[in-house]
Amino acid sequence: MTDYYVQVRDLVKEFRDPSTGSIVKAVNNISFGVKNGQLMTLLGPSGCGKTTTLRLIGGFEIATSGDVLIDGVVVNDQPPNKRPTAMVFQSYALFPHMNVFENVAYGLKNRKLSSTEIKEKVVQMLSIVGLSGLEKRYPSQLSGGQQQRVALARALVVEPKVLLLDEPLSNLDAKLREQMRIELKKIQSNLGITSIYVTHDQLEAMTLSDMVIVMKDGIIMQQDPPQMIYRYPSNKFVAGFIGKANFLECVVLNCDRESCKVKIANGVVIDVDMRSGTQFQTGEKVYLVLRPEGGRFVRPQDGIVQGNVITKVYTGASAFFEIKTDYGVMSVEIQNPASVSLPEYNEVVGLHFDRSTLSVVKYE
Amino acid sequence: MYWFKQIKRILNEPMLFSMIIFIWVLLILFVLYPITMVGLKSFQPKTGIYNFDVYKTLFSKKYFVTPIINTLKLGIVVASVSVLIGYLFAYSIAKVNIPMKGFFRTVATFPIISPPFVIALAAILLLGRNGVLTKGLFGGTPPFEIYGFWGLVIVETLAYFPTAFMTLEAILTSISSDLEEASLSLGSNKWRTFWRVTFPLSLPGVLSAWLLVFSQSMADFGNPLILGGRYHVLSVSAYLEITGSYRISYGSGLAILLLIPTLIAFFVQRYWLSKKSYVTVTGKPSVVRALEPKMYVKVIFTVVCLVFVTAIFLFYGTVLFGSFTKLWGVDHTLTLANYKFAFTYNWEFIKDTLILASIATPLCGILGIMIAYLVARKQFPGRRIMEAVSLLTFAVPGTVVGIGYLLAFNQKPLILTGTALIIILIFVFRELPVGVQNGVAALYQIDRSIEEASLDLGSSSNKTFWKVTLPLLMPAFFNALFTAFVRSMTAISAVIFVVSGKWNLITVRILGAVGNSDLAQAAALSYVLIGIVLVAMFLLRFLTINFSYQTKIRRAMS
Repeated sequence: MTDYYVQVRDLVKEFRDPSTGSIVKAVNNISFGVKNGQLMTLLGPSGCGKTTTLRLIGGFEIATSGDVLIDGVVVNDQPPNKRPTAMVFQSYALFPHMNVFENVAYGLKNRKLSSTEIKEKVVQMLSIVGLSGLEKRYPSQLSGGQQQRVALARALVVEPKVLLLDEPLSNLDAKLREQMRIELKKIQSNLGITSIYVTHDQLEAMTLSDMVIVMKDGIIMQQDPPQMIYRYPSNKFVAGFIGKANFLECVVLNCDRESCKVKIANGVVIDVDMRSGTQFQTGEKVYLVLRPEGGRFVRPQDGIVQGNVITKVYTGASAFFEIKTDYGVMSVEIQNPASVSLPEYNEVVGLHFDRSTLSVVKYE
Repeated sequence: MYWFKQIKRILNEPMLFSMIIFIWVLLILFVLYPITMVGLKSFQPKTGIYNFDVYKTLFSKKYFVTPIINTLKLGIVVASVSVLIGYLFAYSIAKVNIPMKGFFRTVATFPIISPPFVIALAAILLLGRNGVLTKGLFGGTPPFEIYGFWGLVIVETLAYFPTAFMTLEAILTSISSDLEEASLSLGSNKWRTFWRVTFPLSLPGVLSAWLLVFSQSMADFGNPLILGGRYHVLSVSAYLEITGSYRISYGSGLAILLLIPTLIAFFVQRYWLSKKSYVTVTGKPSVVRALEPKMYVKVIFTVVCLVFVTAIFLFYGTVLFGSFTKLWGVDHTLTLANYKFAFTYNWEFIKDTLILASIATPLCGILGIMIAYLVARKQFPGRRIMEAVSLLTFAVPGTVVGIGYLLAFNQKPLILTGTALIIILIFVFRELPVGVQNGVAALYQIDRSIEEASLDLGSSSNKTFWKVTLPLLMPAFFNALFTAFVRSMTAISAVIFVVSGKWNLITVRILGAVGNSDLAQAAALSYVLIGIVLVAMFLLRFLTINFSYQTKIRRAMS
């Protein structure tokens, strides 16, 4: 456990709901750690406690119980201005009465640095984020993407031990978001700064992170590297939240160390890979997780299930289908649709799924 | 448990704790205590005896019942007419794309920043027994009795419709024209769109404006004193009971009767209507594209606005003209004698008012911002109550405050009667809500994460306040200073109870001049006052331009 640079231990934060007066646990006894130089993402739907967790690490909220450790030191009693963290806010929180230079220099002025040193650092940081020449502009004169860069520069220039990012890209339009996402990752890994990133956008989480924590209702649902989270979701919520998923109720027939045989209600038996360490009992009811992008069309009698096409949407890079089966509507996404022949609306088809896109989660 | 935690945290910040205590002491002493004294006095017909005798008399003698009914009647009529006119005005500017919007808006705010009884004075100059209109148009007999109900309706409507206008303009502007366009695209015509979409959405604003004007009319003192004639209203009756007949208990009783409806109106408006508003303020600015109406609609609305603006100009112009005449109604030879007189014989009044208002204004602004900061940014038990109490003097009619100060500070432990301090205190605490409200509104607009960012970058909370919060609050602070100054300069209803021979006020002098039928002198003094207000306005503009960050940004852009 000691190789974690930032560590959260049994953290609890209770709020009083102002309308009902009852106590709400926004963060409910969570623990995790971030290794030096890594980027960890807290991912979850709104209200899952991810932002509260970040604010607890930054010192903006006082925990009901539990500890936050940075570089091995308990920082519970340190106010934000004493913690070695710097935050990039969702709203950027740029000082509207200061220009770009003054905004970025603000944090440096709290350290005993000479004005030439400050100037040097600010200029260097602005060139890193690509804002050279805009020193004299005020936040209101900048585009959203530029404001975002100022916010990032302002946080990075104080050389914090930990960078905290609270949905930093959510106010940008789609194109810009994609571009900033890549740039952010570059800057972060070049500087090698330990970062904690909060988002509700799973794509953002997957592309940026070394490690992803999926949260729901103040509890950690899964904590894994992006590939593992996608390949082996640990429960139905994560399977549905990360990427898209179809679910089929199954019964486990038998398992060995690496795979299980499961039986669908129509009698078809399927082999599914297991993550090492996970165990299911023979006869246990489970969900089979089938990723839409792993699906393909076969003759009706050859598929694991069959049904008729009720939706067909063409998006360019892919085609999206909904198929009504006896076990519910299932979706299938065909990549590079021009290369294969596709069924028509209302056609009866069989569905098959690549083994590498199948997994099993507990029935709940 | 929660309270206990809050208190524990405050005790860890001795600076904050002492600030809270300090403000509570001031609020209790100078807001709550005087009002309580009025209440107590009204149950005390003779020293040492407490009963309901005063109220029994007030509700049984016609002499007292009439003003009660009169005040309510006047308030209802003035509020209704003002809201109607205010709505027309606001709708013209916000929704009908009439020309010269800026001009109309500016003229409509004249009555707000001018001395309260300029319009009453103008009414006398125009329609009184020696009025120019009376003589020129009606051959010497007034068309109706200007001293009485209808005179007051005209004067108070002109004086208070701007309040309704400003409330309604804000509401109408915030109703996104997307909604109206949606209604039109769904097949409703403009008439139906107005009644089914725009009007219902503006209804909370209409009620709000009505209650505000109603309270203002109820609390009005200057106009009824000049124009009331035999039409008695509560504020004037209370004043006469105390200063004329020296029946303080009855005066207090009348003041309490005046206080109750205005307090109800205040709380309904503030805590109920404000929650009813359908208009939600999102960060996204709603684009107000005025739907381009038909030409004749535009013409009608423009003409209606022009009529009112002309009336305002006529009234103010008459007083201006009057201030340069020898003897109104008799000898209209132009002369500067009135101003000479004002700056020599009446100079003391002008000087005293300026000194007192200049001392009170910064105190009021600083205290207001302090309270606003505590209320909007700090957590402590009784926070909401502190806000409500500091805003209370908005709701309490000046007459009640004046009587309260008269009663409270004429005895131990604090004897202040006759001092300059008591006038300054009235100014400070009467205008306190302006600072609090401006400050709170500005603070709510400043994203909390801006201050958090400053903390996060290593500044202490003290440094954050000085470096980040205060610069952002500056425009609101200057605005509060200006309003407080103007309202102190033009105040009358509360201070009239505590002025003494030593310290006198220009407004009191104007009332005196009107009482002596020295209308030309009253007009000249009114314009001296207006002149001071204008100077203050330019000063404010200068300050805002030179010390606000927005100008810094604008300069950087060019």
